[in-house]
Amino acid sequence: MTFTFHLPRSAGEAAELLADAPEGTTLVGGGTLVVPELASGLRRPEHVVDLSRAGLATISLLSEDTLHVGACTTYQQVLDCESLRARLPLLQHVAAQITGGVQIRNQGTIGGAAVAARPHSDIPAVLVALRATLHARSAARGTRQVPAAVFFRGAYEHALDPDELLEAITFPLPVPPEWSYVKLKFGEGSWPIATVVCTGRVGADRMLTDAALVVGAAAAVPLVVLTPAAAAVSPLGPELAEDLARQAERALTEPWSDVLATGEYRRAVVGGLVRRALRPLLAAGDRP
Amino acid sequence: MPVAATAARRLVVAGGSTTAAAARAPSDLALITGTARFVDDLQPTDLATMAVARSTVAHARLKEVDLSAAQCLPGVLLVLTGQDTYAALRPIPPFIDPGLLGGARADVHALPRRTVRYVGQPIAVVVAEDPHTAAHAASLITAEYELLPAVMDGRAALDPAASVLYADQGWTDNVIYRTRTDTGGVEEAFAAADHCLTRTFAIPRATTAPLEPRGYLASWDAVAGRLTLHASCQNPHQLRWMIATTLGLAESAVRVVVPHVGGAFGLKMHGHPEEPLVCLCSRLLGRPVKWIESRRECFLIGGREQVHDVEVAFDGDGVLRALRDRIVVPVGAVSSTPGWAMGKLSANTLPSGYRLRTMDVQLEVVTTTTPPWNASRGYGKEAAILVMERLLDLVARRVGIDPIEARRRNVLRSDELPHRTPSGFIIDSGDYPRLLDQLEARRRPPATGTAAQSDEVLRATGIAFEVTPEAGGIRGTFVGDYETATVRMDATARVQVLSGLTNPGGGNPLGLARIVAAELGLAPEDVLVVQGDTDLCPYGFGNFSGRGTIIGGSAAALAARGVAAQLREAAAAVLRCAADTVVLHERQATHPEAGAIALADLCLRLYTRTVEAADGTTVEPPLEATSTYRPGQTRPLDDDGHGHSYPAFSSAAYLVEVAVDRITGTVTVERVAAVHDCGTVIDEALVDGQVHGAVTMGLGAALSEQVRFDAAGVLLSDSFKSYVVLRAPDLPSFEVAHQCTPSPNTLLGAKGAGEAGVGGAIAALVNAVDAALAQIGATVTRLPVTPPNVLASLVDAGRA
Repeated sequence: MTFTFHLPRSAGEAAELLADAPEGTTLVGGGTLVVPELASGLRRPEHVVDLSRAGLATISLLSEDTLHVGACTTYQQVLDCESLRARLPLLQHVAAQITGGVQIRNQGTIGGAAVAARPHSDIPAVLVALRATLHARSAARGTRQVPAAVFFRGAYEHALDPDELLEAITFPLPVPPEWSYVKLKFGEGSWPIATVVCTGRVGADRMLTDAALVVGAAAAVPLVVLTPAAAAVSPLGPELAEDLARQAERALTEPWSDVLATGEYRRAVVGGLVRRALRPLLAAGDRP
Repeated sequence: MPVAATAARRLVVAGGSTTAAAARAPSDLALITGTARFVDDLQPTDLATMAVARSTVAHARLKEVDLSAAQCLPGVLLVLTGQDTYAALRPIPPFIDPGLLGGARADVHALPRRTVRYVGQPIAVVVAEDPHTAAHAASLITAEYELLPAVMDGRAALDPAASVLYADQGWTDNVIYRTRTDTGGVEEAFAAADHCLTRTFAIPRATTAPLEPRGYLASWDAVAGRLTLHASCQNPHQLRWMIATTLGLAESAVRVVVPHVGGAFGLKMHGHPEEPLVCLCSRLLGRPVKWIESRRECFLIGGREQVHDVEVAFDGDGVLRALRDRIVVPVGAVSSTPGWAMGKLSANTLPSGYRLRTMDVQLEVVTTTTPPWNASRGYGKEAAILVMERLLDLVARRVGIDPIEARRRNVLRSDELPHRTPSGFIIDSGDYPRLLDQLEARRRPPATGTAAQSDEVLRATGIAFEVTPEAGGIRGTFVGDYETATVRMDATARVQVLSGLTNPGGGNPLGLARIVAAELGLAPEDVLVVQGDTDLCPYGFGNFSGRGTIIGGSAAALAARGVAAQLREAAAAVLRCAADTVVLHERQATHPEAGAIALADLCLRLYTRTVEAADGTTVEPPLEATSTYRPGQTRPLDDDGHGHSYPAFSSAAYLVEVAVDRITGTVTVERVAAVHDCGTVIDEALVDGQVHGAVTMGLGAALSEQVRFDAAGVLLSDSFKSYVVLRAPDLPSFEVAHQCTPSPNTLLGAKGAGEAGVGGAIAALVNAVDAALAQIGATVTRLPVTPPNVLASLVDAGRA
């Protein structure tokens, strides 16, 4: 197998390379997914564009209300970033649980996970729950912004055009103070079978505001159970938890099936996982 | 420690249980530091690479193989189909011929001419200048198939209406091997017993998944007319024979060399089609040709799967009276590997170390249109342990006694050993009641309170008792029951041991070094162990069946004793004392009165012929001895005259604590303890490493490892993401204790280690999960106990 290898020094240069041959080009972020596919011959591109020198591996605070994470930021960078500790602990919590140990955390990237759009993965639901914005770039049209909620279009399908690359992900700040992440997987080597991301603010009156509850890895795309607009309709308590669990079960009409777990299994556990994810928020409501 | 537990299996860091052990062996340091050289690290000049094109259908007439696209690819050197190889390669001789044991035989060709019998069967090979071109070319090869009925299931294969898969070879059904052990009196015993239980136990197909897949590098030397095969294999001398036979060469024209091996577990016993194919390609091209198995290909070869329909009769005190078991073992397509005989061992290992004398066990090993088996660590014995230990738990529950007590009432006492089992095994020695006592001392009372049991979590402890036949041999086959070693001491008092054993990564060279050093008064680091080269090493059988220390270690000990006798004689001549009073210790030959001489000085004098006794006699160089060892009790025991015979039986008891998540069905292993008796322990770290590895493999087989095919026979579990093996964070630290009842049948009293633990861990884990589920009226219905399978049990119980 032969391909032309490119090592662009900027996102602009990468976009130019992509514009030349959008269909015959494979972009490599950290390479944890793509390189094994290249090695085993599952992918036979004409061009491979390695983004590792394109300056996309940065985390920066653009302002007090926007956090910028370059597309090639690794899980380990997320873990090591001091400013995330206070501002986006959920993302660090997720990064710490990535299967494969330090080798994968040092190599795998947040942006790579997003554009892989694998149903059974951690990142998509997290981006949706955190209301992230994905920044696409093409040589022809410059940059455009895609909300996470519409970025994931199906299993392995995303909203980028063939000539676009993902340049960055931005997160609105501050994120709600209460959050939880429940992840079910079948052993350390397994991909996620189902995840639940929950964020929100619990008021003195136990009213839940600014809340989001998203189920990941259970369907082709993240399943939004609760949005900020729909929250704050009832006080946070066991009844709401029960209601959300049932909503999640009902909403999971087309659960994802794979070799590790059938859709039937995923449907059977999703309600229980939602209840677990809501526990820390319920506890927050109980705090004086 | 969990890291070591995983390492012992997957990274095969020899003696990986402790850093101290690792530091003691230079070869282990190479593994840890990444400097060990495996087959794929060998890059001779002019190297070409072979890739395999594989069948995409489970059973078909092979009409036309289209090579045109592959042949046109630049860099492709050679493409071969079954039509090309039929004349050049004889059928691959079986490792264990089922025909010899009364079973059915089929010719296995490296590439088929007419019929394909599983998805993934090689139909053509390509050799190219580089691995990518070879793989690409192989992917371009297509074939026209005329589909035949597929038989994916063992019981379906036994259906009289099933397609006879080897009818073209004269078979009239799909049974490779059939046997029955009926002691008589079973009917009467069932009628007389207080209770009876009926159960079906189905064990799923698993695979060995070593960290290093198979790999071979064949180099044909046209000038010398010789083939050198570097192979990641377990049995180099037998591979040499197989290659010579298949290619029509003299054995002396073939040299097999085994570099570092990254785990074998049975997969690397020979009989695979790629072995002769890579050799043939090298011979045809006159260039070195390498084939490295891909991870995907490595998952094709299976093992373990079987179904037991069991009935057990027992009395109100929990004492077993009789057993019926009908076993069906589907071993996939017929192959020349020794995998099929695992089924025989499952039957023969029953009823484990229990007193039960009345049983009727029927076994049918059947062929199907799934990929073939090879041996898998445990070699079928694990299935017998699972069956017996599940039964003992069920019996204990039925009569209301403690599971340990149920074992105690049924195990053989030491004064009943040696004991001949109904299948003809003779269990040599052991102290099973004491093992159970030690296990009981480690068992904690059941946890109570909401943290222990709740709406969401069920906790329980499971136990298992295990007896493992070790170091087996089958006469008339290359499952050898003897081993040879040469010990050479040089002029600097350093020693070389040439051994017929091989090291799959577990570290047996350190054990050999220890044994030889002890005989010669040296330190293990003075001893270099050379293995895995058929031009250098004496004829031997490599590694399988926990035989390394028992047989190979004993051969090395005997050879070392020969050299020690020379040293004593030489020292006696120098010190002017009697040879039998000389002690070899701390690199010296010492006599209490006559004094001492450093062995290095003694060796130099001996080689320079300056050793002379008072009467003028000398001790002749070289300091070298070769010995062969065969343990006692290896006569054929079965009716067929070729039965497996085992000199020693290790024993162990296991305890596993689990937490079952009632919401998701997830099983968490919270504690693992083992009391292990492999007789004399030569190196505790090596034994612990074997126990850790075997237990991890057993827990994986019970918890998550499952080979899956789709309805058309296409492998679904073809990566470590879809075939889930346990990793370090999945496991707690292991508590391993040792008991020692030396074997009377082996030179050193050792009984072998490495296979024990697979069956015990499977059984203890499943018993623990079943005990947890029983608290709410549920039971384990399917293995492995994956979250979906456990949840299904919970849901069923909820409905009931």
